[in-house]
Amino acid sequence: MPLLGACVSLSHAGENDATLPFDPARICRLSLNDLPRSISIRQGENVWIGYDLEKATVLKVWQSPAGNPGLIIRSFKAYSKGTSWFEAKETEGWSLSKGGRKAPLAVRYLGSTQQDKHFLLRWELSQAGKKFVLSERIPMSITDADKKVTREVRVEFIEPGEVLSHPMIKREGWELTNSEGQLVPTLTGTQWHRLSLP
Amino acid sequence: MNLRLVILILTSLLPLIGNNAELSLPATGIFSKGTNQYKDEVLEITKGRGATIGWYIKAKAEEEVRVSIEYSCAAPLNQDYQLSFDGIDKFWKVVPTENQEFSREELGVFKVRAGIPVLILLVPPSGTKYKHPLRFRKLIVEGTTPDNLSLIPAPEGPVAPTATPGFGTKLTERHPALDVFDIRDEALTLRISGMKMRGENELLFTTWDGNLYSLDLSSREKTQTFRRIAQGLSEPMGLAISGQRLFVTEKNQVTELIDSDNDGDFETYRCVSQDWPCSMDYHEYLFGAVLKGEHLYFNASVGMARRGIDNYQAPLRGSVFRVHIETGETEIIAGGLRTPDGIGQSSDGGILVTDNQGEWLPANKLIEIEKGGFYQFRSTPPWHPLDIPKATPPSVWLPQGEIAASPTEPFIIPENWGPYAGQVLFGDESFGGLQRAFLEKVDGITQGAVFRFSQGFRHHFHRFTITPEGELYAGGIARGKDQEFIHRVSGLTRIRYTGNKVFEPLAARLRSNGLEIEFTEPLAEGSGWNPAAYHVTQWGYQATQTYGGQKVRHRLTGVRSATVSPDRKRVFLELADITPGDVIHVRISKLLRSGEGLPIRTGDLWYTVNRIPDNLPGEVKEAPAITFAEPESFFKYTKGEAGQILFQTYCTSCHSLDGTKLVGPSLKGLAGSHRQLRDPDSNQLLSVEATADYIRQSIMEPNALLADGYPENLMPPMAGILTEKQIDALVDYLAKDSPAP
Repeated sequence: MPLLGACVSLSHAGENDATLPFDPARICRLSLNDLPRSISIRQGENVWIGYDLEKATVLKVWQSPAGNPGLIIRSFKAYSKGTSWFEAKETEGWSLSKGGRKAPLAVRYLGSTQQDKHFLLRWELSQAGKKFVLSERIPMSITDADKKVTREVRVEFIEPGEVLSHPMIKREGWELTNSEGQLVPTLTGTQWHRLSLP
Repeated sequence: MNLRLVILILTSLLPLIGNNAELSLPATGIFSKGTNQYKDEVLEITKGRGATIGWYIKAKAEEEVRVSIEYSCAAPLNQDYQLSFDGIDKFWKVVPTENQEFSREELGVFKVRAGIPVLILLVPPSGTKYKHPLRFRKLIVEGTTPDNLSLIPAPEGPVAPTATPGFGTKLTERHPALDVFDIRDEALTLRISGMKMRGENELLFTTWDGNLYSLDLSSREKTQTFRRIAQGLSEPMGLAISGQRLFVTEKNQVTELIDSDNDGDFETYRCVSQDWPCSMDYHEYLFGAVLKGEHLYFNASVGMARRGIDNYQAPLRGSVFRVHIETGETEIIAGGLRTPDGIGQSSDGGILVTDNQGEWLPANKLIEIEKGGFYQFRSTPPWHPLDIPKATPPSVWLPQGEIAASPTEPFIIPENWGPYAGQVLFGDESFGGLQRAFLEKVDGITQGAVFRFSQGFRHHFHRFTITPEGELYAGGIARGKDQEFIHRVSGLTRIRYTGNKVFEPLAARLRSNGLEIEFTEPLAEGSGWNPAAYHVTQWGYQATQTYGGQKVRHRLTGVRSATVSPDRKRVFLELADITPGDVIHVRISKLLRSGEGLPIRTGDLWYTVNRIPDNLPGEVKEAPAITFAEPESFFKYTKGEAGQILFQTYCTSCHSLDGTKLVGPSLKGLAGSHRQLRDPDSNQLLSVEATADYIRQSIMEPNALLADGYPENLMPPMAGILTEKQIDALVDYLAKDSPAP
């Protein structure tokens, strides 16, 4: 190679790497199982929750194989590995019910935040000019030993008489409880709800 | 006898009964059949790639013509044929014919230009091999003016003078006015994908594997420390900074990195927008990031994984998008791009984009984007709202192998870089180095020239940023399979302009009657006046759905006179022919000297003619009576070196002859050696002797047998880029020591 430039050596100060948010070992922002806009979040040591970001819904929940990673990364794509506990079957998405009428909601992903104990995902759900903000908070550690996985859900800007629902809540085994711990069928009010997989 | 056959017989008899306004373009008269076979006068087409089904015609007067095809085809095809008539595209969905009978179908109506060779190309789908052939007999061009149209032989390309680095081939050395420091951490492979200054002393850069790093530039120690400040990004390819706000273009979304509590960590990755479709295609990227006011501009590349299947593209790929950084509102600014790796701002605030040769791009491009422009990468049915038959031309064509191969981010040269200030520089992921462009506006249309600037860098530059002092930081990247090569050419470089005097062409401006060339230094007194010191050629390009493209109407252009300006810094070349849409290539003789006796460092420039200025003639003067003695010949012509020049032009970006691994395997000792190859269909390994036949096949159909360890589609099929004569010369050069096949 002719006339190479003089060289200054560069040294990587790696001391802060472990504390930086979005550690790929816990939060994987690559496509999951060939779904382009998706994210995978590890809860505890070996439970993974994969989200479909365009539908604002869980795509898959699975447990890593004992002693092995639950995500295989190939050419900037992630693939789940281990025991599947849940895989989304519904094609229907979020809907708004009000006054006996039900309408589908458009979804816009707003982003994610890593907090001390949670990972937060946010979406805007809209219909005919009406906008809600859906937040999902995923505890980074197991919070309920008798549940396989736990998520927390909240809707902002919802008004009395308005109900947000997703078919997954009723039909696919997830339990939705309100802030008092009571089982409920839909999201009403702006308090945090809990969704768990028994 | 059915009605269709009666019509066919009657129409085929028309020339015999005196319709001399019609012209037949027979299958037997095409440039190259590729791997297809003739049966009498019929070409049985099963595979498009490697075939060039084309003809040149000439019209005495401009007129409207109707083009039809005579063919038969037993079953439908999954993709359309393209008819490219002087650059205007029509697609044809092949209608199956009955019982192998020939049918005639109209393909479109076009306007034929008068007086110049007009190229007509029938382009089959390029990626698929069909079991049943399309049996093609001829095209028929029907005008209304008797004796107006004629079929002419393909113009022979002009003979090029002997080439040396900087004069017909790539430079090998660094520009004498540049000081260069590579800044490397040998423990890491930093494939730099985005780069910007934050404040005056902090350089931020992203890497392809998803990290964001910070480097403090205030320290000029021998070892500089950098630290990771964000991670977990998804294939970032662009970084933009506005004050303390950071934006990254990732694989499928535009993201703002937010540090709400000012602790130095970005705990929120806000999705600014993902309002465009995407697929799982590995080649879908969002390239670059330019902030203008409240908007972020970036490019979306097209997919490539299904090129050989059905050519599927997710809608809206190949666009320049702009996104409002607060509302996320997303708009399409332009379409029809392919691999637009680079985006930057022009000196007057426009958006500059580079694009990469391939399907629909016969050469690389530098484009000042026109809002609503469509730059010709198409799919059928049209999936882009801006898709129109007549494409928007690039500002500057960057001929493949001659001056670019995978151009990257364009940027404006800083004010303290002497005569080059305000011009455009861009890097190249395969060709390497820095290339320089001068842009001008003619009737509001941007066009200009590209020049060789510098090679001799270790890194293959991808992204750039400039410090307030005018230092350039350049980040290298590479793709491919060889980790040693990727590690070697990826990394960070600091480049400083020293002000050393260099004598070379600086700018080129089009006049109504020729081209004015400006030099960095005055010419030696009395020199530059001889038109023989300038070897000028001209050609056009015609985009097709198959990979690459040959030069169209490649011809020598007469230099009627050369006039040197009073300050001896400009020479006006009065040209015999300037054609809109064509590229003018000027090779300046190596024998020219500056007034201070400096030798000329580079001699090539390529000017793209989009518009010829009206009433702006260059001044033509007679040469002064007293000129210094000049040589008998300004250029040498050496027989038998065509293959070597072709190798230097088209192959050396990816293949060395000295054992160095580049994007592709080294060809050291190729002739007669045994190569370890993989059959991509069976995945079996084979040992094949590198005979002339093997070398020819590997050039024409590189996917047929792959060098072990290298993937499909890494190498372009050169049959779409070189003529048969050129391929003969290249094979001859590479196989000169091979045993006879």
